[in-house]
Amino acid sequence: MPEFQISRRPALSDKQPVTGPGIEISTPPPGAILHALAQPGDAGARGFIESALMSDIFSIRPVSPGQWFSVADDPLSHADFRNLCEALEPRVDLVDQSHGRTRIIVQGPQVEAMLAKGTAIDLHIDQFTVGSAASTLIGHVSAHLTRTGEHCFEILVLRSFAENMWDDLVRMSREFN
Amino acid sequence: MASLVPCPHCGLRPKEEFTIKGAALPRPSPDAGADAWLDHVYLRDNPRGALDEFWHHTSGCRRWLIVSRDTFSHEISACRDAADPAKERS
Ligand SMILES: [Zn+2]
Repeated sequence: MPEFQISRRPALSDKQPVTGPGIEISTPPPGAILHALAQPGDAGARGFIESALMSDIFSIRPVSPGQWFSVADDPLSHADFRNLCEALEPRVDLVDQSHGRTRIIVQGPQVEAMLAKGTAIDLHIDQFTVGSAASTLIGHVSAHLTRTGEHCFEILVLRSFAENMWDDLVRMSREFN
Repeated sequence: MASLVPCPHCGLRPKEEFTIKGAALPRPSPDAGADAWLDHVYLRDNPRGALDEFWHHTSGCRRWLIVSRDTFSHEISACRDAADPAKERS
């Protein structure tokens, strides 16, 4: 008999959402995060991925040449994941990152000022429009940042850094709330 | 040291996002001999002026880049993907 039972839980399950006039920080229920990889020069790969991943379920964010993240609010069964792989291979490979990365939502009228403490990207809405995405450093941690609304961003971070990122964001948000 | 690097994929990014490997030098042929390989692997000039270097955009697109910079003025004159076949190294 093992003396310690390993249980499966989301990385941020014990965190309380931050609410305030300037910044809100929350983590959505675990959904699906897929990493899609194609040949860097394959110009039609994004359209090919979008046609296979139903756009009403998945939204697609560019990561780097030939690479995208696809994010869905609901979990994906292994059978559905296998079906997607079969539809995309061999032109595109899919890696299930649903448990490998964690989503954090930061929003509010001061959210750009808060994120500017951690990243060097110009987050002005004229430069980083709704739907823009970038892999960048936030503090000392690599993360993927997507603008999902005028004052709303999604941060994708490796699971083992999620708690550190959350705590950093809470500290960064304090002056605005 | 240059502090803002124009990544061809990500745009202007701070040097903290990158890892520098070193001078981007033409590779000797496999049978070039021990002297040429010793030189290639271990011996480096320390030029004052133009230098091509391998930079890895570790916290960005994770592509290997070739950054052409001036070691004296810190100015970057070019930055391209190391796999880009269109241009020859200068
Ligand atoms: Zn880059």
